Amino acid sequence: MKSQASVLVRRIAIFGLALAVVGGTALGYVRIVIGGETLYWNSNTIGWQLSTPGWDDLSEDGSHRAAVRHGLESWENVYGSNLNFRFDGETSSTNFSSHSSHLVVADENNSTGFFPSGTGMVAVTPISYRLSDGRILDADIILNARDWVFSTDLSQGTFDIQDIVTHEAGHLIGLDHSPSLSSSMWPYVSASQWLHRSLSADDKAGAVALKPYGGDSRLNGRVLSPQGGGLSSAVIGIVNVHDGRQMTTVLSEPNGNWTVRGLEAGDYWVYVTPLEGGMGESNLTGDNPVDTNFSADFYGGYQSPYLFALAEGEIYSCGDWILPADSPLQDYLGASKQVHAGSDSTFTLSGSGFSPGGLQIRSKSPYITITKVGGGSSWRRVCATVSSGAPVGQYDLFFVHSTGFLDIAPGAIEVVEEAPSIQSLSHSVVSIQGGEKIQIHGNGFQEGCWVVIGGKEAVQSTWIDSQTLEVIVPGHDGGEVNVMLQNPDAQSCILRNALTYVAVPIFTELWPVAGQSNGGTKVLVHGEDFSSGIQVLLNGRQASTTWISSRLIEVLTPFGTPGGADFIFRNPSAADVVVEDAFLFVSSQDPQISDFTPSTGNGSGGALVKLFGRNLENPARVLFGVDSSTGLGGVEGEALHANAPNEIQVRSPHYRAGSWGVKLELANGQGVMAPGTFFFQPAPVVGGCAGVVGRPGAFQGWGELPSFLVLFLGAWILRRKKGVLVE
Amino acid sequence: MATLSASSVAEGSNLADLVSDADWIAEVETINKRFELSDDGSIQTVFTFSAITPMKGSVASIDEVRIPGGVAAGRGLHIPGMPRIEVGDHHILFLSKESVVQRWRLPVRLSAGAFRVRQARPGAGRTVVRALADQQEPEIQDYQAFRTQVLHEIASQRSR
Repeated sequence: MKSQASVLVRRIAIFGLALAVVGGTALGYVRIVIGGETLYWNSNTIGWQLSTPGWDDLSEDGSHRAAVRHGLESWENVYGSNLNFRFDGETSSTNFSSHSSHLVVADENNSTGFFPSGTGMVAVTPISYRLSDGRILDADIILNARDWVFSTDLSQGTFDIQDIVTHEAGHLIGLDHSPSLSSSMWPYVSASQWLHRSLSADDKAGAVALKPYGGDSRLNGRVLSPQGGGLSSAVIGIVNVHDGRQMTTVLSEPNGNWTVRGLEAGDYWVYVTPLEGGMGESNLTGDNPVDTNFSADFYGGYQSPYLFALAEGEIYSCGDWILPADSPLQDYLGASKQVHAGSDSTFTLSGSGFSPGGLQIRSKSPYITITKVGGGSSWRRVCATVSSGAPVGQYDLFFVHSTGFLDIAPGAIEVVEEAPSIQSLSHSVVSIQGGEKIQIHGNGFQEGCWVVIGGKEAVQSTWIDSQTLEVIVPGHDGGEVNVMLQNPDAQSCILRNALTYVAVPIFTELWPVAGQSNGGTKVLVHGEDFSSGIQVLLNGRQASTTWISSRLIEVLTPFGTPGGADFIFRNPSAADVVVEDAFLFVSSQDPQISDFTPSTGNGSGGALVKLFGRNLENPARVLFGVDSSTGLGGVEGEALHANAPNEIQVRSPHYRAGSWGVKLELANGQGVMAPGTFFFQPAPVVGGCAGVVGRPGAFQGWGELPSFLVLFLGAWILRRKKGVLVE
Repeated sequence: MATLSASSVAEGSNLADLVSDADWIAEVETINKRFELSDDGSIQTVFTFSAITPMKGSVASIDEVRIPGGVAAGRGLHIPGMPRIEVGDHHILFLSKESVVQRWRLPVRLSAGAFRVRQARPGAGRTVVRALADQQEPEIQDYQAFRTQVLHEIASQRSR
């Protein structure tokens, strides 16, 4: 039996004594009401920013980003609701007082002031609103990262970031706590709990109430006390007649009126129960009165409740219902019990007024059977057997006393899908670049599930079936990473160290593209992510390779038969990258350049340069201005002519000043870099406010200086020789 | 496993934890409250408490305590889970340390740290009502018994 003191205080509440903290709702689902004003957002879309400081200790791999985003976005895409969140990027600001942005903050040093030592608070959502009409001006979610440990992988003793953010996001949008045990807005949370990640029907109804898009089906009515007055903040529960699921709960307005929005067409029962027990008036932060001076009942009574058939888009009035007198029955359920369809679960229910023998605990679902295992005046141990085929959702428990009194625990049982599990991946190694499509194999994958790989959400997930999911892996630094999968019902699983990111080389180009079949051609290969331990094979033969950088390697070709050859690039632990017919082995010997002269020319071009060497027949082009270390770039010289098999000549092109490489390409793709560099002298400055001012055409530039010097020196030497001879 | 209130996600636990975490415990009557708009735009309520029984920490006979939230300049700052304290109320309060910059104290575990003392009816004994419905705790307790428990717990923790 309930203690006399407890009963007394409930009776005190009946007579309307002021309460310290009371709450209620206007049109349902426990919206925050302060001073008679219901808090609301002016816009359907709420922008938010992730405050970047403070998260590094919470999720080293950056997985908090996906967790926070999914926590907020869980309130979107609710049938009947227009509510949306818009991610406005990351910010270094932690200033929650600024109305210009709505932040999600990890406060690791109490910079916000909300977490002085000893508060015991895990997170807070301060809401700034306009007094005149309740319009929300700003709201920010602040996690107490100084005193608590958070995670995204349900590590023991840590608070789940997504779970916490989902709940706090409910406050942010203007919702108060919910009396439904399985609701994300249920006022209690434990470490490692994930239940709040996904919205219950109750929460979804709240999203509809906040931002309805109209056209939804509705039930409404009015609940009255035994004395005939309107009951304020009574819990109204809507039950699906056919499967017994609780569709949602709402609280009545101060005058007893209630409305449930966002219902689908169907047949429903309606019950009414006081807001007390595990979730009581003090868990609400608004200031509507809470009446508890009545006993629970169904519209039409528990045994034969009225059936309300609701058509699509219909607004149906259930009328008035007078509730029975208060009873000593009260349950103190603190959390819903999760059970899989086709299984059973034994658990203990606590409360008061459970006089032995006089109490039966029942479900109205044809899928759920409750059997008593044991009990006393303040507890019952029961076994809930859930048959296979039971729809996923929340189910109420009904405490039926032999005296006729009824107590209801809304959402006491939650039937959940099979928990997902990952067995294997199609790939064990992927490129650090990401973008590869891999398959995840396991069980219990639900449509709409999402995957986080190494802390980053997979770019794209394609649900194949309950055992197969295809995802595009995100880019990541090298190393082993975890793969986490979360179903829409918030159940998740992790396969640790499941995937290794390695640098898979990316081929861009090589030069020259052809070489002598007896090997020994020096080939410059360009690309990305070449490992210092990279191996290169041509047509399966190992090639001597010099690693220059992650973007350039130098390969000395092995022997090859004339014809096309495949290049294979092999980074340690990474999959081979094959480039088919990337190189051509030819029977002719590679060209060689032993020297060229002059090695200096005017930047404006025109210098006649002779190149000496071997196998210089059939030159296709000579490039000047080549990056001598990479072989890239350059401009083709002009007037190329083969003077002999060992000599060609070409005029230098116009090019910017500096020392640059020179390379020769033959018509068949063979080529060679010339030794040394060609120096392009700066072009003469003509006009301007500084420097040398010359007469156009009178001076061909400093590029001709060596010629002058040679002539001068030649004449001087000749004169000296002559002189000696004369002397 | 600890059960936590997720409003602003404050832990709702037993008296020993409350006493341990609180920096300031007192039985007080609220004799005044005013709202202040801080330079950073946040709103705080400055409560003036008349200490009936200082229990732990530095409690002045007339003590001013700043708690975030309130109304000022045409707007309000609402902290979900914060207990409502009105002038004339009689409480046993468990408050945290003071924030260094803002000088805020918060009720330990928000509503779990505020026990309101009530006179049930003329001639009847007084009770304390904690503004938190935790199934592990009775909603209502006898005032004298609770007060004795608090003092005993404080003394017990001091002696350790």
